[in-house]
Amino acid sequence: MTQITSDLDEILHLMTRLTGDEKHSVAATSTLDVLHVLYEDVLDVSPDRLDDPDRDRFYLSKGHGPMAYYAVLAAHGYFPREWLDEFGTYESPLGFHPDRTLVPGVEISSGSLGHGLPLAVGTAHALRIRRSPARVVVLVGDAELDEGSNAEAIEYAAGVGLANFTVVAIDNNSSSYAVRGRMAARFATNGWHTTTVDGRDHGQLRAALRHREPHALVAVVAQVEDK
Amino acid sequence: MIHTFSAFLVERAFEQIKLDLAHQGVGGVLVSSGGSYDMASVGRTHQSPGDVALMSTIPGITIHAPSTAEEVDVTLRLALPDTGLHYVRVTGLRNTLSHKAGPTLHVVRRGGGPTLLALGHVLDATLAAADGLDATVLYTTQVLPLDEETLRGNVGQDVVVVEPWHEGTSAHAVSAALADRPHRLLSMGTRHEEVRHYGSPREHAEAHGLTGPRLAERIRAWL
Repeated sequence: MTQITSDLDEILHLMTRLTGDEKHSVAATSTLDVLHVLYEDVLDVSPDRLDDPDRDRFYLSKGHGPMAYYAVLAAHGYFPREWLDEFGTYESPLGFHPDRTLVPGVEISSGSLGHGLPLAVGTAHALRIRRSPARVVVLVGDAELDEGSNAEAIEYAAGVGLANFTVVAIDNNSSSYAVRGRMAARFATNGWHTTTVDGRDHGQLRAALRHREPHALVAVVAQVEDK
Repeated sequence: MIHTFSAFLVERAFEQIKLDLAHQGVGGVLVSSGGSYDMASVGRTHQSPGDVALMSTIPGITIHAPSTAEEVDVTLRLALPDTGLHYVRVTGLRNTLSHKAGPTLHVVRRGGGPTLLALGHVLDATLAAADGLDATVLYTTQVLPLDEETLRGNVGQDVVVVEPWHEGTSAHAVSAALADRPHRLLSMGTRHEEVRHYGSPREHAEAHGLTGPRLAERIRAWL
């Protein structure tokens, strides 16, 4: 694996190239720490293995506000950092929602909520049929889980017994009918191995995201500040 | 009345529109915003150039594309008291001049050349194209059903439809109105292939060929 390491300060600096904002506001991005830990310490993937069928798959379902995602990918060498400076322009491959056909390392085009988890379940199922060791990790938002397509995917994945699968749900308490703790309870009720961690604590995130269950799906609820 | 972005109102909820409104025989006013490329910078997920084509498959639906604030206001006041199903397509892109909203087709410009039917927010661009073509320009806020009588009274042999959604969406309605007479039809709208670019609505209008100079160029080549 030729993973290029990066630190959080570097990613924050890259994000300012996208937003023009000061560090303290970009650091508030709810996905930042999870993405950093995933690409630094968890996913078995790198820019030179994008066509390896056994690479791990990461699907960013919550595709809006993809600045942290682009910064992490740039920091890990998936595309030139200069791309960040043209963010959102007509000729730029980087827009406000990622396009998998334009950006190396982006596995799904997202932006319409409620698609990533079902896509990831289908991918995990196909990988199992091929007996691939790859795992699939999908990042969703808590409000995104209001979309009904997720409910079907959560039940289906448990029903067919997928085990190479982790969903990380960023909880900033922005679901329309939020009740604290209910999201984790929903996964657990459907038979998922569920843990809730501090979404800003890299140690907790690393342990939870690296955890694999031989016979169960894994749900990690990453609690961040309220939106 | 239901309102959200066109992609989510029409495409995501289409089966519910088909079955839970139309098939139940229930009316309503569905108002979308965003159109084909209002939100160019956020990409395909928030663009729905196929909305008018999709909605036109619903039996009995009335489709409106008012393109000034005044036209939107009048359209909503017409649709709300009605018991039928209405789709009102509202975009941030707009025309300079307002016309009376409703079923009537307006003759905006008379000429001796081809007839250009402008639908939605492309009236300004269509008028700009018409200048050098000596064209007649028609405009209506009601895209479906079309005002066939006025259309028939104001077309010669060459008919051009300019529509800021999937090219060819309105061709069937126009051809059906002119079925008994020799005519040829050019449809100009958004391209069917994805424009995989971000940027601004102006850049997307250019990419689809929906600016005055680009329309004039293509019509001239066709004539």
